[in-house]
Amino acid sequence: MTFDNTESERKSSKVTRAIPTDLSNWRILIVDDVYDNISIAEAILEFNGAFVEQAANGVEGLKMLETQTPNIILLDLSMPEMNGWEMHEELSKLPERDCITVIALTAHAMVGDRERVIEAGFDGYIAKPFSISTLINDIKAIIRSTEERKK
Amino acid sequence: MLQFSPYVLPSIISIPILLWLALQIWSRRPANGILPFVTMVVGLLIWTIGSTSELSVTDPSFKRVFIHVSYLGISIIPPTWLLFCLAYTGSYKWVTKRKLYLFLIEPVLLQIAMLTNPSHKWFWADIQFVESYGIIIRETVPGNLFWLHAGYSYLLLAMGCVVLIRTMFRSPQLYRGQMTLLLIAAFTPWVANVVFLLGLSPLPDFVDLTPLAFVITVLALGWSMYRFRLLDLIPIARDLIVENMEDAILVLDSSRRIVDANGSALHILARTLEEVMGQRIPEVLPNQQALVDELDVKGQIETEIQIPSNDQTHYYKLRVRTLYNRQHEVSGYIVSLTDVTSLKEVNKELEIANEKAREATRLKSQFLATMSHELRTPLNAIIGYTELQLAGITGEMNDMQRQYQERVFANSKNLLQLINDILDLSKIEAGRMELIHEPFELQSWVDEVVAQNRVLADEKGLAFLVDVDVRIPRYLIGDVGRLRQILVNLLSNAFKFTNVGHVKLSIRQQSKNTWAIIVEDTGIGIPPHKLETIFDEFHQVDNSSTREYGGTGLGLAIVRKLAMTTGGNIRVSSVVGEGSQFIVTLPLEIADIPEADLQKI
Repeated sequence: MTFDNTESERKSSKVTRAIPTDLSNWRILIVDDVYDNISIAEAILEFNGAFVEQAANGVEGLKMLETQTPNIILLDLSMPEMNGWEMHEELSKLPERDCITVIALTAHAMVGDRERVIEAGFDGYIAKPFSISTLINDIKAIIRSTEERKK
Repeated sequence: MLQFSPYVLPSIISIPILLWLALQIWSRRPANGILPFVTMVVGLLIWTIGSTSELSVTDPSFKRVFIHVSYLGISIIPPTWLLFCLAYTGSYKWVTKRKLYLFLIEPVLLQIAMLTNPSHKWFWADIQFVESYGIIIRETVPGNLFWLHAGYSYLLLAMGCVVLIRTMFRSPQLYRGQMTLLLIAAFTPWVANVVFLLGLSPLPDFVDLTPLAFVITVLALGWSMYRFRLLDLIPIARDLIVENMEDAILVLDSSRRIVDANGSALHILARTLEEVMGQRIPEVLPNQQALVDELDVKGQIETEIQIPSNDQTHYYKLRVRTLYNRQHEVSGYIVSLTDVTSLKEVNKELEIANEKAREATRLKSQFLATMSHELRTPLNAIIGYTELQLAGITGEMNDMQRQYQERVFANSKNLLQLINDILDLSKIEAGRMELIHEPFELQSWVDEVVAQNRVLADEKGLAFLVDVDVRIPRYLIGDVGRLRQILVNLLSNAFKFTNVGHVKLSIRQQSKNTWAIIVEDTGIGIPPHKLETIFDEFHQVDNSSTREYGGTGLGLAIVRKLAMTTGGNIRVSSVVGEGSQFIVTLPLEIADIPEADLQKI
């Protein structure tokens, strides 16, 4: 049992109908090499009004950042070409880094993985499989704590 | 005709004593010097018997016979004394068989000289038997041969004493006692003889005190055998130990020249004693100048050096001790070398084996991490798409579709949990699970876990009681993640198996730096015969409970493994129908944090 995801997993054992919340001010970039991961996250986020862009790896992700600045990046860690760690490192050199909440959305969910991610400078960590019923709340919580920390 | 005089009494008493002594010593062999010693006692016995007999007969011809007997004994004593001293001090190898025969010459010549005395009068210039003090005694005037014999005897006796004294000064304190006793034994006859020859004896001048003195001598030796286990423990033992020990020993004088070296040292240096004598360390051990410099600074050294030999390089542990005399001046150095080559090889092999084990553990952890990642990725898709449909994002489903999707969802959740538990357990079992030791605030840690689990209590309408002993220090040191895992597992079990009543979490101090986390519930309880196996993998109370209550049956196994990894343990007590109590004891250091640093945590 790994508690990084236990709580959300347990809580969501009964799925209730999703009530859309207004996320029209969210511009999200999802970087993941697995189509299903993007597809699921995109579905729930767009359903709630967020604007979602996608990239299949770190290189693509960085290229997207040249033309637009999202306020949230959901970043997978294990990817070909350029993985999430490397992309985050490059991203951290950009001036707009401070305006983006960078969250690792990863299937690396062994004990200690969360600590490694936070240590590397990510703003937050969500383990896969993530629960669509709590994904939005989890992102909101990370944004809140990031803002508090910045203060 | 026999005559009696009181002067024979001491001799008559000493005869059985000498006999007893000879037998006693003989039964103690083998030991260095036992044969010469026994021969000496026998010689003394012959002398004593001879002189006593001579004094007890009146007939001159009988007297002459016993005189011969006496001198037979007398001539045995000096050579055997010398041989004994040589053997006792470890110089026995000087005595070859040929030299032993040389010692026989004098006694034989003595007997011949005595037998032929009437014709040449060289041994005794005059010998008469006169009546004095009421008994018939012998009055003799010594001749040249007598003095020659006496001189020869004194020479041998003196040589023995010199050998003893020399060894005594070289011996460690341990042997001084028995050496002193030996010297007293050696000098008593001399004193008696001098007294006799100078006519200082209180007794009539025909009574020679010397044999009596020799009786004292052998008794002193006999006593020292009991007191000091003389002949058992010989002074050369230490020399032999040093010579034969595996460690190499070099003795240096105050100017650091080699003055002695044992066999091992010579073997290592591949030189003879003559070659190393007077040499300095850098001359016999190349490339060790640093050692000499170090010795100048520290006075003693303990280090490791390499000495190349023809087949392989040997490693030695080298120790140098400085010796001081009573004035606290440096009197010399003891250098010892212990061969640690095989030890080093074993260490090297151990290091390689360790490295392999570390690598295997690393690979296993790597494999587990990959497995975890690869299993979670498809599950993310399964759970995610199912959840999307159940959330109604894809449009309405009919009841059966919804029911089936819910079964897919629930089962994939179970699968995820099982995968998590198995991987976690494997990671713990892979060993070397790295524990993080960091300070944490107990109360906020408890609050966090309680908040996480409050929802479980609310779902089933159970009371969730928390009782943390206020006397527990605010900050402890431990692996917060692992501790949380323990507590979350216990709490989720408690809520899972409790339908009515409460779940209570208590934290107590059990002893210094040992803390007890107690989780008790008013649940279904555990039958006594299941209590033993409840911490084993895949053991729920029965398999049907897995169906009824869910879960993988790995939670408690993980808790126990974690508790034991952190140096603690877990125990359980339970009554069926009333509830269970799990107590985890954990050793956790108290964090000693200055107030100023508290803010940072």
